[in-house]
Amino acid sequence: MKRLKLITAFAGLATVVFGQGALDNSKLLKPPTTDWPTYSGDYTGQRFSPLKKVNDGNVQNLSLAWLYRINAPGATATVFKANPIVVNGVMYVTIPDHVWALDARTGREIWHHVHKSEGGIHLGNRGVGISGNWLYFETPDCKLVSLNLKDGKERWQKSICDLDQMYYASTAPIIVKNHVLVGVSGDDLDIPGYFESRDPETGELQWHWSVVPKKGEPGFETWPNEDAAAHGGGMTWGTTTYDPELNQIYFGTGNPQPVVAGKSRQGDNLYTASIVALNPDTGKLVWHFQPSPHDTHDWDNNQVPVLYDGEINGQKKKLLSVACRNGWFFTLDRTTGKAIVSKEYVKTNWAKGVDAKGQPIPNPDKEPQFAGALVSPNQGGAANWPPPAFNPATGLFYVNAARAFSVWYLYDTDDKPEGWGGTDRGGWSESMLQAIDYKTGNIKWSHKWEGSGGRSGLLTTAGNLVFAGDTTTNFVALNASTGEPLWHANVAAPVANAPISYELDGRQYVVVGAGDMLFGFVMYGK
Amino acid sequence: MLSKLSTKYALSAVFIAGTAAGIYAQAQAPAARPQRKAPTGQGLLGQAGAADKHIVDADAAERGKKVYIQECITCHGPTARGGQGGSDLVRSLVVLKDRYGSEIGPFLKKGHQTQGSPAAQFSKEKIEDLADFLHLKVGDTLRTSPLFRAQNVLIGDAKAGEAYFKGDGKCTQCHSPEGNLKGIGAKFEPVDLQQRFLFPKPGFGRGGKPTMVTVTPPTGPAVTGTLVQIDDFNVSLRDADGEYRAWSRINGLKVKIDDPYAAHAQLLDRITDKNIHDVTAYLETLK
Repeated sequence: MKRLKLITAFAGLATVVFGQGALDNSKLLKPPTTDWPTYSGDYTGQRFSPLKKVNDGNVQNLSLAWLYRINAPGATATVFKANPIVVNGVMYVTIPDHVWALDARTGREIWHHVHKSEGGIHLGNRGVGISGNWLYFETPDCKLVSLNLKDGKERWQKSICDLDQMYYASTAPIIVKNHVLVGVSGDDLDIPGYFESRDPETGELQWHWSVVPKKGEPGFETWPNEDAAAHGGGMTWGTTTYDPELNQIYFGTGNPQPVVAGKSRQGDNLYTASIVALNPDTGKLVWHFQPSPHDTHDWDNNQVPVLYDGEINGQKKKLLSVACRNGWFFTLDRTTGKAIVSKEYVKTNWAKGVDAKGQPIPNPDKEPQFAGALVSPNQGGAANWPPPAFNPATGLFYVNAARAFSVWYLYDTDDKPEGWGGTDRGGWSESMLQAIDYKTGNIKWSHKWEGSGGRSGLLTTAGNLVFAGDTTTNFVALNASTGEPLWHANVAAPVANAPISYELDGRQYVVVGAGDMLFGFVMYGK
Repeated sequence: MLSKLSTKYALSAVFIAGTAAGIYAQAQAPAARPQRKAPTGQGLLGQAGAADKHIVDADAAERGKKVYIQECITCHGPTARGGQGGSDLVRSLVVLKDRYGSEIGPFLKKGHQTQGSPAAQFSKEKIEDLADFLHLKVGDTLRTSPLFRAQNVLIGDAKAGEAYFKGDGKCTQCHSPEGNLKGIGAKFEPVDLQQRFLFPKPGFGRGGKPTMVTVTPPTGPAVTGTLVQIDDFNVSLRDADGEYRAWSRINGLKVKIDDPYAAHAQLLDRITDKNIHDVTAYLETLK
């Protein structure tokens, strides 16, 4: 709060004219109302808005308030995959190398920052992190950049990965206390994954956690040798959630490398394709759970670990649930990492069952083969980066899912496969929005979309709604209890990010990205 | 590293390097190296790495291959992924950070200090050629490499495949080897045959039969046509006269979709990998 007052005093003009101002970081600890101050709205990853001015009784009156379209000549990835952040009436949104500040009431552009790129894969950018009056974002050329919220002027930039090893950076930084938490991407040169904490004032390294353990460390025994471990992958491009009471952060790790041809990395390959809990102050591993031991299907486990308090067998528990790319849903005790529920949320064909820890046991016959193996899910997975949502009122975990088949082939005949060494081809898929009972993993309701393809992230609200993109170009509101579609708008391109909601001047807004457009919907009237 | 030619490795390397060279920039004189253009058509992967990364020249890599075979192959192996005491060069930071010999050259000039090898007596041109070859080998591990392709998928039993085709697969309900599948084995590579019988539905650039839809309004006659678009809220079709027709899915409107590929989708849940390999082998015999 001290910082907020300070900024208000020194930057009063900007606050009045643009409605800008520093983030009171204590807002990160509460469900979002007038702001959407971090990737998931708050630290829980629930993407739950307590707002209910828009609800299952009136959502049909939701109106378009504004439309913003990217104007960035020369940009190479003009799709809004980023999660917008809203602080004090200003929205901050990105595509690779670009950050915009928009008026959250009107969509009017306030400033536009362009990062001069030195290369890297421009696949997408997940958004910004904000602490006080500073903004942080990652770039494809491996930079963590800090900007001034007020005007988008650069404060500093620090390298967080190595372009020459084909790393790139796309994650939305998460701010926990005095830590800027950053992850990295890169899946082609058999490189080690890691996760870092950076100083919010200087960008200097505070701690570095290697996804794959080194010789002598616990978990190393799941690799055949040091060379395999040193090139073992496990990227950290998902988002992070945080429990301040336990002082633990949670995130998922990516697939091991070589990606598809796994013969030179026999073993479970910890801590790739895992959910991990770390101490945010030290970067020390607290626990892990591995949904895809020895993954060979590119099933990154970077899906959002969602935190909530629930009841299991009459006992209150601190829980964590994930709907994984491999088609399995898990509910864990987030204090210990012990599995409570392990269950498919779409039908799959790659696991022989679960082990004593609740982890699926891969069927070796469904590893990629030179002559092909028919596997479900496909490479895209049953879920991917678009975030799920959890509604405390319904007790349901929502995920926009796909049930898909493809044939997995080994290509690399070398004694030491490198890179991918194979891939999947072809496919058939169907798409559905699954509402999962966190206590059992049972599907409470399933809304099957017509056709297949595009899937969006989700938002759920106290108005008993789930907002989602369908497989075409519709932005849809469904009844959170029953799955009945209640409202839609054709937004002219597949929904490309996850919706957010915030209230300004007593009006509830719902904002979603589709293609190169951001749509701001609002509920007018009382 | 600096050792005599190994005939065994040389033959392997000639084959591998020869097949790999094709994707990279067309031959240019060495003097033109700074103007090399990155190969096109590689999509997102073409963006990977630094903007000033080494761009491989195919002719230079071919010359560098000869240097590699003469000097390096015995220890570092035919694919440069390491071998008899030699490290994996395609994952070496010296190679990955190199631009046209900028790192490889100084490294070689020092000699292989850990092995006690003498400094390499390479000309600047030879070092640059070797750099091109090693970067080519790095590229061979990428998804954009020409080596990134299906191997032999014909491991099945054609007779068993025929039995499945005529039996449990129920394929003869729509297909016959003398009719609509006549000569199919000569038209496609085996891996493409396999893909087509598993995933025949349009959407992967192959065209195909249209999906038909019948819409029955509560107060009007049923209309059948080719499905144009459907979602939870609207449905549209093109009828037998080519007219575009559309309805909102309200007030008891009935919609029935006839997917001509439904039997293939249903097969996915029950076909085994052995069945797949057997049927592929069988279809390949239909020439």
